Amino acid sequence: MPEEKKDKNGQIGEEDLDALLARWAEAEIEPPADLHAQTMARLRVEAQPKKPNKVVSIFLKKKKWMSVAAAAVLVLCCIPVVQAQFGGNMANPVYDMAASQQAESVDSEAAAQTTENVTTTAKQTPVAEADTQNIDQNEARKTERKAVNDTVAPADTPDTASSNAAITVPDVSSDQSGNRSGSADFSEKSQEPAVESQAPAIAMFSLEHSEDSAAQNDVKIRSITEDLDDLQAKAQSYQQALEELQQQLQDAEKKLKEYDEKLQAEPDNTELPDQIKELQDTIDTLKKEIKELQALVAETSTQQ
Amino acid sequence: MDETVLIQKSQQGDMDAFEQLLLRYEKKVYTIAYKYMGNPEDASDAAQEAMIKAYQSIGSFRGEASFGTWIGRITANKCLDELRKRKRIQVTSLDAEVELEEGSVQKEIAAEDATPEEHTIQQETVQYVQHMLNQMREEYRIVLVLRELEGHSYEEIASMLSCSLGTVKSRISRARNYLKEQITADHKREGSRNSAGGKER
Repeated sequence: MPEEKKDKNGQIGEEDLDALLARWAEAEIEPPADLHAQTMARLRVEAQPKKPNKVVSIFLKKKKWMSVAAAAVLVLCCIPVVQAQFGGNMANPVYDMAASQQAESVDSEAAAQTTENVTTTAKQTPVAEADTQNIDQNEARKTERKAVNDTVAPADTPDTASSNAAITVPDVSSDQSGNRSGSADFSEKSQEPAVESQAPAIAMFSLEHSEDSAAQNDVKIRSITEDLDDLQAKAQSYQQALEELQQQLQDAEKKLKEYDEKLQAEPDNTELPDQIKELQDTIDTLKKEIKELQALVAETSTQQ
Repeated sequence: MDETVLIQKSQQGDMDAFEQLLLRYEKKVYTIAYKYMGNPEDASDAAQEAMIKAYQSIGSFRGEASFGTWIGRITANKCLDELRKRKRIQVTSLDAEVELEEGSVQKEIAAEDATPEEHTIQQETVQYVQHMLNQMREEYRIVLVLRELEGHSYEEIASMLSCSLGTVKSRISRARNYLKEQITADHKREGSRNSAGGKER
């Protein structure tokens, strides 16, 4: 124990205590030997997992909208792929694969399924003749497009078409708008040299398809014209009925005016009010029937 | 390497540079922690926490004070936070009296039973004062440490501890008186032992 100065009561003085505390405050204490190693180990452990936690906190906690936006972008990116899978978009590589398969199958089976002239043309068409082939193909596609547009239901599978063509035909005709854009894309593609190898097969397919669909479309056009005639007949009959009803209404209104005048002239007449009531009822029913008929006429006109 | 360069590198995330800084100030950090906490285990924990906190906050170090002062401040705050968390009651109180059958008597604390860790401290005075401080209730020890070790004014201590100025003054006064009484009692005890030893001879 250090020797300290004491006051009269034997207690150490303020100055001595201050000196003692000053010595205590100034003194440094040696840390344990493993303190540095432990501290550095903890520092390295705590410094490492910081970065991934920050990223996670940004995406999951602080800015959830970013993950939502990322998901939305992902969905938007997937839409064309899904459309290509189910909608048969012409611009999609899936269709190109089908077209190349068609070309192969046509090369092998064309002799049995189509006319010889067309197959030989398809097989032996050189690259230089692709332009003339494309012109024919475009014309054929135009007629096909017209026929498809005229039909109400999708075109049936052609009998003479191959199995690959049968798979592809509904894709082409199922979505008319897609077909139009797809055809446009396709015609543009066919003019490019890179797609020239596929051109003969495609041209043959379109020729076959146009022949078959034209025959079927003629039948359908006939049925549609018949339906249209029926509708026109219905509309005419409705119109006639409407005119008759309107005539009856006018007659009833005339009678009602006459009864009113009679009633004013003969106020004591007890039969007239009853007759007026009956006339008003008939006028109301006539008006209702006229309205219904007008609605029917409007319907038939829209159907036409 | 220059301390400024080490600080700049540490601010850029250089762990080795920060390790060099720690090697320079580790002793100071531990000393402060030990004087606040009163035992080597708690001092080690508090020192580690303070150094980790310093690494995390080194980006905000602007060099307005020296690095030693800055890390010392962090250590002191860490210790105060830890002591506030614990809110532990010191085993021996300044005013505590031991209840016996004959009545209550003032507790006397022997200075001889120092812990083994304290024996490793070479300076006898420091060891002795630290031991005395460890016997006090924490609120008395803290105000004394803040006053004598950190050199804070009464007002600063009052604001740091969220208590009134009068309370700070009272606590410091009582803590000093306690130290004086204990030291005097030890002197007396030492004197009586010496005289007893002389008679035996």
